[in-house]
Amino acid sequence: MAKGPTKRVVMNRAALDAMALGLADGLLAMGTAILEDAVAHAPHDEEKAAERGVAPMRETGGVYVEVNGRKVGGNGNKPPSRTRSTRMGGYRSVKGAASMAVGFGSPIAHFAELGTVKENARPFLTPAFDRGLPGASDFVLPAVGKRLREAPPSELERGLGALLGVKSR
Amino acid sequence: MTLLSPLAQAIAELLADTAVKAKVADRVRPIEPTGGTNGDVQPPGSWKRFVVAGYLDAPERPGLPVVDAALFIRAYGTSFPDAEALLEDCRAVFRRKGPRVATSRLGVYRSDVTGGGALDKDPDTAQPYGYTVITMIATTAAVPA
Repeated sequence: MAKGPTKRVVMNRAALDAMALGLADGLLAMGTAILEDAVAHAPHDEEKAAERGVAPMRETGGVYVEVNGRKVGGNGNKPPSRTRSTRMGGYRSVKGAASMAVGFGSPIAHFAELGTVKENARPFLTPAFDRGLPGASDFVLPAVGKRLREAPPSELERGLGALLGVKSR
Repeated sequence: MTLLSPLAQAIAELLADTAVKAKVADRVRPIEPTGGTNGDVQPPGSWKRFVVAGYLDAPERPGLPVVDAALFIRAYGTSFPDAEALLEDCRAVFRRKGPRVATSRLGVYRSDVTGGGALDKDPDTAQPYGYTVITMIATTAAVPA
């Protein structure tokens, strides 16, 4: 069941300007689309999951967005935090950048993606990313535009100033 | 017909590497390991070192004879440190390697290590292995001699 944003996410988002918020919104929308694509192509592993006492992989997907190293959005039952799914992929947040991660919290998801000695690899997350990334502008541009249209002039001035390296009055 | 395959090229480069070959001989397999009594897959106490490589995805760039192949490599060892060392030998084969042309005339613009590096146990045999993701930007047409 989807939950609302945590207090930490609400506070983190309040600290961002319109452009960063728009970027976060766009990345969240894109990540959600990629996650849905991955879930649709994920192997059915209900038997194996029951054998190992874990939830089926399709139910463990999540999206995670952060700006300047702080979480500003996510969805899914348990968004992949900076633990197994993202740390093992070499994910590192970059200061001054927005990042989006999609992953599956199931402890057996990487066996499906990469294979084992008895089961060949059945990649579903990598292809979903490759299908989704070329369309990034379709998500990010409308989201940024919406935030810019809604932002008060003073915030726009501050945001553009930050972008151009000019101090606002 | 010569197969222009980034996976075949990756297997060839792993087999040609002295550090990898010293550890696994010819046990570098595409897609799956060999089974059977003398195969790659052995029970605990009889583990052999071997490497498996395969595709994660290989999308072609629209309108260009170029493919961005993402390949996984699983490097199985006799212990976690052993698997890690074999994995690092495999990663070194592709890390920041520049343009080359294969004997098949496949052109490889660049290869790099783009993910993985973690260790785990195979769920079926408990054998330690490390995995990594490499990206190979290659041609989809033969490069003229």
